[in-house]
Amino acid sequence: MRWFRRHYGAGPLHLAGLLACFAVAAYAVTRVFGVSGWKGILLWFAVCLVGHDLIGWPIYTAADRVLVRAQQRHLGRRGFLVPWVNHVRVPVIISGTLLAMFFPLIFRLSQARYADYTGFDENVYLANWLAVTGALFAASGALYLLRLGVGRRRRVSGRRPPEYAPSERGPG
Amino acid sequence: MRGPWLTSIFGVVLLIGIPVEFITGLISYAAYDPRLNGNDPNPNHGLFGLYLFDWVASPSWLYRLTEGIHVMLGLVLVPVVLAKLWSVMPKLFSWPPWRSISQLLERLSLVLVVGGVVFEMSTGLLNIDYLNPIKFYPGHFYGAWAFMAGFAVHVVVKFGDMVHALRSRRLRTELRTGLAGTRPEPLAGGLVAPEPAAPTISRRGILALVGGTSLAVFVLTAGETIGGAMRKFALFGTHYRSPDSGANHFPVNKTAQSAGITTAVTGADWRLELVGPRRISLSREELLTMALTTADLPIACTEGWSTVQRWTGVPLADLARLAGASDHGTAAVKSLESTGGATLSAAQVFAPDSMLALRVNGADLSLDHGFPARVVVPSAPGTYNIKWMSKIVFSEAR
Repeated sequence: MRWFRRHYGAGPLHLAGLLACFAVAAYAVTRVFGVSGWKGILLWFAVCLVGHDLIGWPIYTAADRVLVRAQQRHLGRRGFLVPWVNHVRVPVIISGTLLAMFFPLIFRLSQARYADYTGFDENVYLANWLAVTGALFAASGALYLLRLGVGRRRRVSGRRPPEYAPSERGPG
Repeated sequence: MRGPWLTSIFGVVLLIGIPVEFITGLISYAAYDPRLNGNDPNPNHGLFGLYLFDWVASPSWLYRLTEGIHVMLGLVLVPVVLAKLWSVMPKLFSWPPWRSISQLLERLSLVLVVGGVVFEMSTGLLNIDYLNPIKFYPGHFYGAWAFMAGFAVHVVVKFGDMVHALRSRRLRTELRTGLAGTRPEPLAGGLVAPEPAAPTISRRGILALVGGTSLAVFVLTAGETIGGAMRKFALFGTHYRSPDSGANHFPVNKTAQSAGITTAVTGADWRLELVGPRRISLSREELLTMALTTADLPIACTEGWSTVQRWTGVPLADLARLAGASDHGTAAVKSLESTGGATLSAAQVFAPDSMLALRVNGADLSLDHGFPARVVVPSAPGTYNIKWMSKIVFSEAR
């Protein structure tokens, strides 16, 4: 048993569980082989495996970094301001998630099938998405102006507003 | 801002949500009654079909509920899954990639977890969005088994870490902590950056953002199945609009035009053929003179949307008796549409509210809703409520 642990790195139950897991997955793959178009299914799985980590994540992280840097420059130049980065992040993330989930409708990619099934066309979804996005930005902007107003009033009365914590380790 | 506590909060939501998705998904497959002739969208299911059971025809709202939960919960979980993936990203680049064989196998099983969850989300989403680059039924079904195999191992391996991390902070305290008081979680397990930049958002801010995104998704889609006043807010649902007006003003699934059905084949010459020990052919007028039943029943689509209407028609049980069929056989219901048909179980044929509907909400069916006659079976997937009926074949075989 000690030999097993030293060479494997965990107990035998760990190995048994993982082997069972791979057995179920392998059996699922053999089921897929019986389907016409099985190559497409396996390829799609591979795309999904790297989709978030190698495509989605680099894009949204880079975009967020640009946003945070812009705010840092802005705050540095103008002295105190209420931080605005989350007032951009929130509407962008909600609107972006909706776009990622419903892009076939928004970009009319499934128009023919959609029309066959519903009796309508997909034109409306781009307008719906723009309207929801506009409403999110408007609400977020209005809230920001409100916070800005409160922040200014506090500054006039000589109290340091609590919203913005100066960076402890500097930008990184 | 990443850390074990935040990851565990998303983890515990998924720990509850994903098994609900799996179970309601298995129920949906069983609801197709795949063991009946011609019903199975995944004929080579093998051992994955061992759990199958005869689907029930009562209560009438059952499939509407389970499938509504499956699709709407699935949509609401998408932001949580994305947040969870974001929160564990640093682990992807941990070095060395493995320290022992056990760790290597564990990381390999994550292929099934990460690939599987994105695969299940994307195949489900594309299917309800009517874009099908790959075959939906086998992909979503076999993909779910592979994903759940990885998910089960992942839960067992990480459960202790999750409980430990959840105990490391109090949710109530976090919800009271704004940005100014937010500090990184203690370094542990490689989720926390060694030298994190100053936080730009608090933990409660991230929870509100993810929860708010889920809420937005819910409000903008769930009206499709909840119905009523909420339907018109389902701006990203495919069935938040209804054609026609009056009695037939409710969403359509597959128009008459796309099915190739014209008034030429649904006119006065139309007959419903019953095939059993006796062969009978009935006109619409003759059907209307039979004893009619009325019931409020849902059309509940596999894509998650649903609508409850008041149907009036001839009980399927009466048609079975007319054809001399026994009360334990099946019925193959066939449409004028060349590809339209399904096999109904005895439980479905002889359920009190199962009917060949001729009218809806007091008016004749519109052509898009299946005129001259359509099948409506309580609790069956919407796709089995066959429209533009032409023939019912009663049989002793399953």
